[in-house]
Amino acid sequence: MSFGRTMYLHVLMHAITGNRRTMMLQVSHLTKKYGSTAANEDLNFSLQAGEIGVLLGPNGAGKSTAIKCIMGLLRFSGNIEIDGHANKSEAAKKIMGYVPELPALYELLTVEEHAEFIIRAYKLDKSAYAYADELMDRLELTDIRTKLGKELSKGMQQKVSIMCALLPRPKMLLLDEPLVGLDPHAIKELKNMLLELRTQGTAVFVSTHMIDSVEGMWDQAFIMVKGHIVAARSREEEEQNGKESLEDLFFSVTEGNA
Amino acid sequence: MKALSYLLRTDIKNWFRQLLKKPGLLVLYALCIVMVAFALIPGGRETMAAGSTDRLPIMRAVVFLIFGLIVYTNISKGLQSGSTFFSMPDVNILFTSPIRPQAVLLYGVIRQMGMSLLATLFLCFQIPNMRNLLHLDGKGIFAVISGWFIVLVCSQVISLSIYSLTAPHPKRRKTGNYLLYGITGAFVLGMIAFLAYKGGDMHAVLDYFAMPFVNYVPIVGWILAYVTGIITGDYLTALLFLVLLLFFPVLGIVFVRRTDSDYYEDVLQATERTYAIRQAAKDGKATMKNSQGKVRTGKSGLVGKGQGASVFFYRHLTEQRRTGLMILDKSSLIIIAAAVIGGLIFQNLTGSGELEPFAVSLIAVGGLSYLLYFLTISGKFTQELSKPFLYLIPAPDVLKLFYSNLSVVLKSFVEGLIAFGIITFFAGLPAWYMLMAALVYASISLLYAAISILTQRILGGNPSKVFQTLIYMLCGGILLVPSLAAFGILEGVFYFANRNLLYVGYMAAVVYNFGISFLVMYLARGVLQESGS
Repeated sequence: MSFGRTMYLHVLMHAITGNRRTMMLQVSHLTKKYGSTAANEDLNFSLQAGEIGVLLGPNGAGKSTAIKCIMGLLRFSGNIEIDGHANKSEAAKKIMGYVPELPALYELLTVEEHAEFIIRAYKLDKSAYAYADELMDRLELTDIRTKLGKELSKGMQQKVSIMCALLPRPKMLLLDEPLVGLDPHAIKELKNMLLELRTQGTAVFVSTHMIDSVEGMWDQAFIMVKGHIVAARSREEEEQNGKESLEDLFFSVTEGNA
Repeated sequence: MKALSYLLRTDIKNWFRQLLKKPGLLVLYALCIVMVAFALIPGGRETMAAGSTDRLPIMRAVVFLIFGLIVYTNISKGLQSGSTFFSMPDVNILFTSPIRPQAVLLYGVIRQMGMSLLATLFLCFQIPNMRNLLHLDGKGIFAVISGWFIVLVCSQVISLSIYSLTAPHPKRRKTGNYLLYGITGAFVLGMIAFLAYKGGDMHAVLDYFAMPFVNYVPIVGWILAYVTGIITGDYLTALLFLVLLLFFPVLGIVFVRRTDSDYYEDVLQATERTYAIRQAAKDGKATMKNSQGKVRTGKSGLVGKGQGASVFFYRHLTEQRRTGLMILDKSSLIIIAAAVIGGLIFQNLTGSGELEPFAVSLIAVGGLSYLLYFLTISGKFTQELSKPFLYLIPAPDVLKLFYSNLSVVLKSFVEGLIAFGIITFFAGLPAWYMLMAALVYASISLLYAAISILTQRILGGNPSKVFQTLIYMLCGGILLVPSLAAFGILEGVFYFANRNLLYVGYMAAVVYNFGISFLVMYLARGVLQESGS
């Protein structure tokens, strides 16, 4: 599916559904401290089904910490809900997908065994096998499906990581610097996949410091500096106001805060 | 649970498949199994004393110290950085999946038990020593080996539980530290007081470990009571202490289970750190193990010092000063501790006339050099190879190899002076011994470094740790034999001919070790042309 067609479908879906979309991610007063150092301070943001949210910020801003808190990997104060469920609940985990910053696969499991493991862990039905084949095809993993995790390059590991995250057809997908290490073909394919997921109603939340990689595909942008969200913009508002690009916005905010 | 059992099953199945594809590794594992099997078969002479309890006090002291070190290290880790029996894929894939955290925890414990079982295999190589030196029979060996396995698993689980309990609460962590230092300090002070009262010889040390209260020292005392109970046939005591010992890890698991699945955070940091170290090692890069800890900067040790290849030496000195105890490091403490224990034993043996000071001097040099062998398998040179400077700096390769290992020699010399000084004092050896033994010890450390270079030259690239260790040991054996033979023969000759010339044997060993080290470095200098990463 081409980029333009996907965008068109998204706009059409948005026009049809209007504001009746489900709140998929709700973060309220999220604070994460390591000793006396606050990595995240009173973060508040939300994302609806069928939206792509981007979390931007310089290195060390606290983006990965926020993602890990949302994924239930860290303790925090505040409240995080995924489709109305507490983020650490089994119900929330069933509908979440996660692509970590550092891809790390089971060294002694092959690519297809990773898919098998995910199918079992998420208790997916038989149709998941066909979907796994489709994902492997799109991510160019079919030829290496019998290779072990330890035999794969960093880029290939990242692709398997993406496959594992997409296989359960999550309603809420979180990606932490997902494009690092991917080849141009895989970057294009991943972007297409994210746009398709948005059209299908999945909320996608991408943390990155590579602004140009998400330019043109975001609905909500949150800019983080030193553990705080210093700016939150919706694409709709920005377009209506004829405002600057995401890059200009980022630099005006971060350099203003520096 | 189906997913987790699938994971474990597939992991094991693929491990065997991989093994079949690597005949070299398969042969190596087969060799290990054969060696363990040989170790299990008692020899004629060894069995004579096996089964008697005459060496029980020594066994209790040795078991307490070794197991105590494991327990102390794990608990200390639990109070600081936390320990983990999870891997990075577990964090990324398992922790974020809808599998219940309790099931994930159980999976982690089972995997940890498997790892501990593998670690236990290595202890099997010590079975002949257990028979020979500790006079243990099959039952006693089972007691020690099963105790080792239990202590490995229990201390890891307790470590994780302690971290979960204390990490979010600095006050609890402080209390935990006070408790750990308090119990350890009380035990050591008790020993000092006892030795002061009893006269301070080796018998007094053994008497201290034989006292019943030692059985009640948390964890390590309980495991000692379990081992002693089996050896002496007091099975009820063994069982009672085993139950007491297992109660705490079980309690720990129950506690971790009840903490709202938040143990994920507790293991995350430790898992990430372990993963980073493993990845670096896999990529051929060595990491400074203490880079997470505090590093003193202070003034630079490089200003105005060193030119060309010698800058490596001064850089190492600066790093050593920032991360260690002046030029010494943690491995020096192990060597010095071994010297203190050895010194006490030698004092006892020479005092009772069981051993001549001459024999003590040889055993001490041999023993500490043997220990150094295992402590220097991957030294500063391996770290240096992962950085570009060693390849780039325009200086002769052999000089770069020499200077990048010189700090190890200097460290070993200082370490040797302290360690052999202690032994000289306790065993009443002549003063020249301290200096000559330290020189031999330092020259051997250079030889070990040369063996590391040779191993790297033979294997090239980023070899597996197993092969690296095997080739290192093989080369070590070959290159050390002439040194040991010359040293032994000369010492023997001068012992009978003229004891005033005993130092000549040491000098010969020093000359040989330095000479052969330079030769090996020269011949293996191509390592800098081929193993860049």
